Amino acid sequence: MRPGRDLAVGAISGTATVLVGMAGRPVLIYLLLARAPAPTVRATLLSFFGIVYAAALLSRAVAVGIAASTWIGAGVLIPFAALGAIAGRPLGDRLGVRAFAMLAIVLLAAAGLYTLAASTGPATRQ
Amino acid sequence: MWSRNSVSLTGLAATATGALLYTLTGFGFAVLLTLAFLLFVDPPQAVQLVIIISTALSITTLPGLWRAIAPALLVRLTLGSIAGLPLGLIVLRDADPAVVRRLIGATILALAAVICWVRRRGPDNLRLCLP
Repeated sequence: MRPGRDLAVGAISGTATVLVGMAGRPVLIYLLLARAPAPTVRATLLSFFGIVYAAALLSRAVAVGIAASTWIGAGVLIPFAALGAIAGRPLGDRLGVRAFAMLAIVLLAAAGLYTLAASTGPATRQ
Repeated sequence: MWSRNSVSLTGLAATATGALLYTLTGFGFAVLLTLAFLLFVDPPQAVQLVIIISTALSITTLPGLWRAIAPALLVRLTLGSIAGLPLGLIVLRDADPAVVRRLIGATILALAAVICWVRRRGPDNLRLCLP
């Protein structure tokens, strides 16, 4: 990894966020190709998403508003997300390089197929 | 969404599964959850739900991962991302969105195949051409 490349990948990520709503995939691909350790990939992506999503949430709330029903729905779902996160954390700590890479490849392939499928139907940009 | 029990259970199960994957890998939540939420809410609400839950998850998960974060890398990625936003807007204005999505989807699939191929090359996993 080099500073220039980090910035370039960030720029690709920003561009992809606007175009297809995918902030993390360019960063994930870059970190995997650069052989970054799995904990670094995970922590960097989570913090990157935290920043990007918080900014997106704030801009949406200010620009278009978010319905009360959506906040209520999120409030119902967040405890279940927390349960999943609690279960995933110790598993993530034990996940080896090989298993992490395999999981990442499967999810990337799913993301690629999803993006292709979305391009043939109504826009479901996120 | 909340009035139909079977659908609600799907949403709850998908949320927990997505969060598990997200905590394991650092990504994958939006793909899984957007698809699941689209089954019972409209696209704008699905996106808003994903954004709200992802933000909450990121914030609550991060304290345990502080030591693994590479701060300089994170800053550069964030700055680059901010710089890339207007570029995306320009492309979005001039290009056919469906073509762009197809191109990006195909690129992701190709890169997933490249990473897979690279992994199989040797014991030093994920070795590639980024010195």
